[in-house]
Amino acid sequence: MNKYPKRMKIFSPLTLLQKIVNNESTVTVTGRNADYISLIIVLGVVVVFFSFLSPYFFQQKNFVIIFRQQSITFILAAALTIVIVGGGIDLSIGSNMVFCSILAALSMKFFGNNFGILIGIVVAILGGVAVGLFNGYLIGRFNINSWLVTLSTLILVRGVAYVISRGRLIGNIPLSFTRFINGYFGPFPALVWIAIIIGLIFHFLLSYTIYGSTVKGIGANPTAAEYCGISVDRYRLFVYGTSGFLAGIAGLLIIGNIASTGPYISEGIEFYAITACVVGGTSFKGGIGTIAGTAIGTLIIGVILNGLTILGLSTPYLRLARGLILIIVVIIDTYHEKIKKAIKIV
Amino acid sequence: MKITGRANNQKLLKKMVDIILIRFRAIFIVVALSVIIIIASILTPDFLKISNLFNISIRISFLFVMAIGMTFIIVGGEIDLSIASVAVLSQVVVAIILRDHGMASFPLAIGMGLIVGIVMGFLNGILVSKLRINSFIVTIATMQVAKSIAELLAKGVVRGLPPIFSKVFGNGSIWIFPILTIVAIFFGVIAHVTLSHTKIGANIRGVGTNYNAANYVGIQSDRYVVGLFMFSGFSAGVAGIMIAGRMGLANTGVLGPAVILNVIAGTIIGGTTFRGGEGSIIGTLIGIAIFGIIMNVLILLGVEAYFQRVVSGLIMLAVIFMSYARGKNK
Repeated sequence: MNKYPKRMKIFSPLTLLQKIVNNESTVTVTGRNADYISLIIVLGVVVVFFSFLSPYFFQQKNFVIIFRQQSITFILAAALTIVIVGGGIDLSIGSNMVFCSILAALSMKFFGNNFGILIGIVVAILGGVAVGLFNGYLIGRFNINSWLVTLSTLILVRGVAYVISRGRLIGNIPLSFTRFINGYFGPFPALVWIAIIIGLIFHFLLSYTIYGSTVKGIGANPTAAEYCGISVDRYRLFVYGTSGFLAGIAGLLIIGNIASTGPYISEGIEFYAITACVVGGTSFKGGIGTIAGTAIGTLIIGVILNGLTILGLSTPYLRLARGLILIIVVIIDTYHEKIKKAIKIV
Repeated sequence: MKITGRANNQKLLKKMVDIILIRFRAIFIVVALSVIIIIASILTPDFLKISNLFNISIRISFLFVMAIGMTFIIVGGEIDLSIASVAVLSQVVVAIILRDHGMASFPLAIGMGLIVGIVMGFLNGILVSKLRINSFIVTIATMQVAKSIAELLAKGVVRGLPPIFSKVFGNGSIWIFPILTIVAIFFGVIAHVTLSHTKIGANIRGVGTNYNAANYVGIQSDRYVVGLFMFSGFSAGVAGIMIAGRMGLANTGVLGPAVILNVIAGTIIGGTTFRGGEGSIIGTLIGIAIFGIIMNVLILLGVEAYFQRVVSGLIMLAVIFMSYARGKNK
């Protein structure tokens, strides 16, 4: 006899349809289906809205631009999703990314073409993981507040990045690398495909594997996880290491994308990534959040910013929009439990 | 399990360290500050020049005023990342009013600067307390909103302020003390007395330690939270007015992301912990002073800007380890 609850099938829209047809409850205990649907509806509404406002919006070229603009932010947001779901926060991820990009750029320039690119990739990933493990060690082993540790690392790593690069922009990245990252494979450049692949892999890891479930458990209730025999310290190390790894990849994509890097770039990008996570449904309480949600959240923000840019609004308006989106989304998120209860289950 | 002699010695040592760091924490940081000042004077004789001390004390005054608001917020158990941006916004508002209406509008300008801060704080407070949204997220959003409104209003740099404003108010001094520092100290004294020696301060600590428990005891936590954010907005407003006075114009790029980090770092060095319910204004003052002086020494030694960041990052890590050693770290 099967005493364990049935696993959710991967293609939940079909299951959802089945349940609607059979007149069964469609709201699961975790509410996963419903959360995706509300996000997709918001995305659809926003796309339709801007399509009406401007003829230039609903074009393949424009959608590709949106994806290109948001790819790097998405990778950082995916890393943040994992960390936040695990119950912590990683403020240093932007600095980490810049640091890795500078390491990679310097290696590529120093070692020349093909060999240099390989070394650059390895160096960036190692650098990112090193910083991530540094965070993870302090947070996991010594149980220090993740806020404080990653705040210090943020400052420290940004400074180290400056020192290494002697305060200057680094250009002259090997062309073959830049051409590859920007080269189109099908509708999207490699930049976007890498982001998509990473999104898929880590979504699978977070939502459908035991490691992912453990991370969620640690985020939701670390004490209970400890009592269950889970080595919370080790998992925290792993989670922050992963975040560092993704920061390294993001760093590589940056130099591929704009063919240069420097210590001043991307100041404040961590806040954009956090916004994307929150829009996507990640909760700071821990244990709740998916990368698919973050992906849709990033797209929503990307669409809104792109639409506003097409309409001719300048940077301050875009920043205002980011802030307002965050506030509105969080308000909706806080109250959507009450809204769900108020609406009878279909 | 036998306790060996070595384990006993280690325990004794740990106990001594604990006593120094906890019971005599206040004395410890004062001693640290004095040591730093002495080292600074030896390393860089320029440090003791009146002009340099003048500059440091003004710089510390900005950070200290913002840190006062930050201390109250952290003691109350929340965080306010929007302080720097609200300060910029109030700076812009003050500058625009003074530019358009001259010195006659001085009280109006000051008033509007403060009101802008209080209103932004009220917005923060409502979102955090009534809607129970995480203060981190709310203040990130408000930070963006405040920054963008400031940029839209200023349309670049706001120039053309009456020169009397910056000469007398911003850069003026009574004997050797800058007026701005006197304002900051005055503010600090009132804030310290309120936080550490009044019932309101005790209630704030209660709210910070345990929001729900404070509610049960009869402290209206949500009102206190709104009040705290309004106060931090007010202190951001004061800081903005001071900056406008010091620089004689309003520049939206002047407060980069480093400022808020320095404010938080100084507050934490001063003994305020993120758990909430712990902290004092005097500690914050000493923490900001330590930070400011170290940064100033680095500037005088000719160290580049970002290397200073490395140092401040290291200082924060050191402080975190210190508080870990005391066992207060979550």
